[in-house]
This record gives sequence, C-alpha cells and structure tokens, in this order.
Amino acid sequence: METRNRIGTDIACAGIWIVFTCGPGLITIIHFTKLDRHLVWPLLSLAFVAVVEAGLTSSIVLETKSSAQAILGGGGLGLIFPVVGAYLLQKFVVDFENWSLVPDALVICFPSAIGGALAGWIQWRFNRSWLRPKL
Amino acid sequence: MRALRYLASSIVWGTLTSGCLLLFPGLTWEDVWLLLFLFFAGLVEAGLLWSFAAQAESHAQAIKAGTLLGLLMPIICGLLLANDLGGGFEAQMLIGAGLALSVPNALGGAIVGWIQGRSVAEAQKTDVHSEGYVKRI
Repeated sequence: METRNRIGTDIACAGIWIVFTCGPGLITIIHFTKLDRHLVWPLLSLAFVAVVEAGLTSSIVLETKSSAQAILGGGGLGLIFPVVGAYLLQKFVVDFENWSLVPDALVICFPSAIGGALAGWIQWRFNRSWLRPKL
Repeated sequence: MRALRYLASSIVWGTLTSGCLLLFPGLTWEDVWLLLFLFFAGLVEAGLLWSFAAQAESHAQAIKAGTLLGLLMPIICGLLLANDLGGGFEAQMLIGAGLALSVPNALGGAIVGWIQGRSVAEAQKTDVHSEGYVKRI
C-alpha cells in the first residue's frame, strides 16, 4: 500500500512537472506555428526531462528537513537542470549549429522551476505523512 | 556521510561511462564537452538511483535498479535526441551510440546500486538500533 502511494505521488509530481514544462511550449507552438507530427519528439523529450527531474526531486526531498527546503530544492533543480543540460548538449552537438537549445532552455526554466517547487512541496507533504506513523 | 556516498557514486558512474570513450583513439579537445555531458548524465542517474535505493528492500534490488536504469537511460536519450535532430543519418548514429554506451553505463549502475544500497542498509541499521535504545529508555 505504501509503495503504491509512493508511486502515485511520484506520478502526480511528474505529471505536474510535465504540465508546467511542456504546457508553455505547446501553447507557443499552437499560437505561432501549425501542429506538426514531428513536434511530438521535442515534447516527448521535455516530458522525459520532467520525469527525470521529478525522480531527482524525490531523492532531494528525502534529505530535507522542512517544506521550505523541499520547495527550494525542487525550484532550484527546475531552474538549473534545463539550462545546464541544454548548454552541455549544445556544446557537444556542434554539427547542428542552427539548433538553438540554450535560449529555449532559458525560456523553459521558469515554468519548470514553478513545477519543481510544486513537486517538491507535494513530495515533502507525502514524506511527512508517510514517516509520521513510523515515529 | 550520505552526501559523500552520493558524490562517490556519481563519480564512479560518470567515470565509467565517460572513461570508456577515452579508450577510443583520435579524441580531440572538442570531445571534452561530450565527456562533461556524460559526466553530468552520471550525476543525474546517481541522484535518480538514490530514491530507488532508499525504497529497495535488499541489496540485490538496489543493484538491479541501478543496472536497469543504466541500461535504459542512454537508449531512451539516444532515441529521443536522434528524433529531435530530425532523424537524419548523422542523427541516427546517436541511437547506435546510446546502445553502445548502455553497456558500461549499466555496469556503472550496478556498482553505484551496490554503494547506495550499502549506505541505505547502514542507515536502516542505525534507525533500528536507535529505536531499540528508545524502547529500553
């Protein structure tokens, strides 16, 4: 039962993060361009990044002692992770010069930080209620 | 102590994954970014495994989780990246690279799973001892 609850919380966190990370991108695409079959891959990549970030937040929140720390951890991760990842990716994929990843990551990192803060808060709340009966 | 374990495990994972590239001749200074990227990936994977290892009930489970994570991550990333870049011939090479990297990465994952599983087992042992101490009081 505990494991099922934990998985449910992780899925909820990943879902929230996906909405905050992919949502602005999807809205921009719908507003400025036409929906294309090939656009599903960048959105899938963003969703994968959000799932990884939610997993990382779960690890960070295990080590935090207050809700503020958990929110800060999730928010900080959401802010830094896309920028660092995009910078390193841009540097090593030098052949694809037209692929401007870093500016896109700088735009996405703000909604991602909000999603991260929310995910951190949810994880912390779950951890608190999960650990209390054991104490 | 736990932070040190995490640092050690991420260094092990990053070194094993990026270290296998150093075996190939003809590496240039530009490839340092690729090595840094792989090191960053090791750091992220070690962080992800931390919560898996904390929930694992035995050492073997933590090792299995690490191996599976190490095997799947490069394959999924290579597939997504290749399709993001348009799916051309050069981009398709990334799928092959992901498949090739998944083997040393899975090895790194198994070692890191063992390190983190040990850390979690030690923490649980300490908890059990402190619980017993409280009951005696």
